[in-house]
Amino acid sequence: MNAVVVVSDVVSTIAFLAAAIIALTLRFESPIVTRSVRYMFAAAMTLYVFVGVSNILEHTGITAALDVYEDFAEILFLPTLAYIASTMFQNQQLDSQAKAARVMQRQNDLLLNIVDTVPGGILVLDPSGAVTFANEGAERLLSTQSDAFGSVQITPSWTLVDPSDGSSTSLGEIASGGALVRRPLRVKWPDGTMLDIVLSSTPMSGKGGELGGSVVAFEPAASRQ
Amino acid sequence: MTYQPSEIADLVLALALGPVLVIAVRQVVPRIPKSGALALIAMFGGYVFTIAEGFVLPDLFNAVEHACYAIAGVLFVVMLLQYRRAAHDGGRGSA
Repeated sequence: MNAVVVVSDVVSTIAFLAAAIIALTLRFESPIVTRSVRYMFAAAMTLYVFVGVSNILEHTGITAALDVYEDFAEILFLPTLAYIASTMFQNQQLDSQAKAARVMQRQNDLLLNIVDTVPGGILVLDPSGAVTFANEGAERLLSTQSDAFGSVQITPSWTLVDPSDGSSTSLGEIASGGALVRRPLRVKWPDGTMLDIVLSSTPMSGKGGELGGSVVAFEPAASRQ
Repeated sequence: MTYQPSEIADLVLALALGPVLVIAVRQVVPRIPKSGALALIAMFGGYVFTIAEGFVLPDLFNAVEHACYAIAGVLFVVMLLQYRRAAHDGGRGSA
């Protein structure tokens, strides 16, 4: 029976050593099975190489000196494998998040490109009437500016006027109705420059169905000094 | 009737961490490779037989315990070779 034990220990030692070497020499890297995962797996296999060597020495009658350390190696084996599995799971989660972020970034870039390609102006207003987004056309036509954090500020030098009766209005006032609006307006700068525009405001639904702001699109109808 | 406390600790760890290990790996690899699963079962068998040898048939169960570790080692090698082949073939592998 002792011969079976020794043969088993020799096979075990060689097999675990081979597994450690294969894990260390795998050339394939993936976001989940990273180099650190492979190294940890090799470390786990090496624990049982030590156990095998200890058993061979013990059962061939050479020495049982390693037997006391063998227990530590055995106890560390499964927690190491569990840690590897946990690391692989976390790697997968991180990889999924990174992929989702890349897809969202591509979609965002595409949408911004489309919005900026439109020759007219597009503004997004929040429910309070503040401008939260302006495309390049709006920035060009209304001299809006974005700060480093992407917040949009309308240069307050111009005013909006209803060309039919000359009464003043504002983007917030137009958008606050929550209904689809399409009307001609006149933008007046302090230096007398005027720009006739055709503006449409479309309400956006927010969470719970309340007004979530408005999308305001406009294009120049005519320009005159 | 002799067994070492570390052997009990091994078995308790196997019982406690085994399901965690399987669940975590299944999250990553929906189909756990048979060789890997069998390797873990063989290791678990080794932990059981090393305690059993303290109660009955000590020589037989001791031999079976060591055979279990040998089988587990071979199965780990098989699993890694399968993973390497799958990775080489352009797949993601299954380790």
